[in-house]
Amino acid sequence: MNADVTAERPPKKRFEFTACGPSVKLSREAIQEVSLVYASAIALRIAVKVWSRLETSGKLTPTRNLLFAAGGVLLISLAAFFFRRMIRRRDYWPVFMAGALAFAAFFRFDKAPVAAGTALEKPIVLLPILPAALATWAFLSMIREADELERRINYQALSFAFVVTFAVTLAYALLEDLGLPRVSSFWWWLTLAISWGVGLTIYSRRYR
Amino acid sequence: MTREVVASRRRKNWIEFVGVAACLLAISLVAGLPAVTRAVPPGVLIAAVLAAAGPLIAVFGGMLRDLDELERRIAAEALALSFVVTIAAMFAYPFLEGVGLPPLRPQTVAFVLVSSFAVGIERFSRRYQ
Repeated sequence: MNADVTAERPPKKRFEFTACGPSVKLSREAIQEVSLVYASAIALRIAVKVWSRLETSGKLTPTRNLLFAAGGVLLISLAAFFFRRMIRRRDYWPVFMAGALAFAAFFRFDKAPVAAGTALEKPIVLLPILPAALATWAFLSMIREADELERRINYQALSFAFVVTFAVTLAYALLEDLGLPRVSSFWWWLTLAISWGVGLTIYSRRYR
Repeated sequence: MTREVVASRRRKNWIEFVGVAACLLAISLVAGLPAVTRAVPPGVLIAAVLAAAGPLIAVFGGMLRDLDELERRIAAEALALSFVVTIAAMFAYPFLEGVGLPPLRPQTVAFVLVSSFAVGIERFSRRYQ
C-alpha cells in the first residue's frame, strides 16, 4: 500500500518559483542561462568601470581599447545568445528574470553612473533599457500564455497593485506638501512591486 | 440581465470611480494648501487622504468584478502593460537622476500609471474588434 502511494506521488520539484500561479518553475537549464546572463552583465559593468578608470587616468592605449571593445562585444553577444535560446524555447519566466537581473546589474541607486565623465556614460545609461524591454515583453507574453486560473490571480494582483500605488502616490503628494522629502523613483518601483507581491499572495491563497 | 441594465451598472461604476478619484484628488489638493497645513494637524490631513483612498480601492475592485470575460481579458492585458511600463520607467529613472534629472513628483508616477493603462485599453480593445 505504502509502495503504491509512493509510486503515485508526483515527482518532487527541485526548484519552484511562482509568480503567476502554482505551476511555473525554473528548469536547471533556465537557472544556468539566467545566471550566465547576470554574470555577463556584471562582467560588462566591471569592464566598463575598469575602462573608465584607465580612460580618466590617461593609461588607455589603443591595444587595451581594442581588447575592451572585443570583450564588451563578446559579453553582449553571450547574453544575447542565452536570451535567444530562452526565447526560442518560449521560456518566458527565465527571460523576465534574466532581463530584470541584467537591468539590475547596471543599477546604481542614488550614485553616479558607471562610466561618469567618459564617452561611454550615456550609452551605458541607455544600454540597460534593452534587457528591461525584453523583460517587459516576456512579462506580457507570460500573462498572455498563462492558464485561466493563473491569469485570474495575476489580473486581481495587478489591479490591487495598480490601485494601491495610485492611492499611495496621491497620498504622498500631500505628504510632500506637508514637508516630507521628494523620494527617488526607485521607491515607487518598490511600492508597485511589493503591492503586486502582496496581491499575488492574497489572491493565490483564495484559490488554494 | 439585459444589456441596458449591464450598461447602466457599468456607467454607475465609472461615475463612482471618477467621483471617488476626484474626491481624493480634491482632498490632496486642499490639504496641501499652506493655509490648511498651518491650521489642521498633519495627522488629520493624512487620515483624510487615506480615508478617501480606501473607497477608491473598493470601487475599482467592484468595477473589475463586473466586467464580462472579454472586457476582463482586455483589462488584464492593459493592467499588465501599465504595470510593466511603470515599473520599467521607475526603475530606469534613477539612472537619469544620476545624470542630473530631478526626482519625479508622485503625481507624475500616478499619471504614468493611469495613462499607460488607458493606452493599453485602447490598444488591446482594438485587437478584439
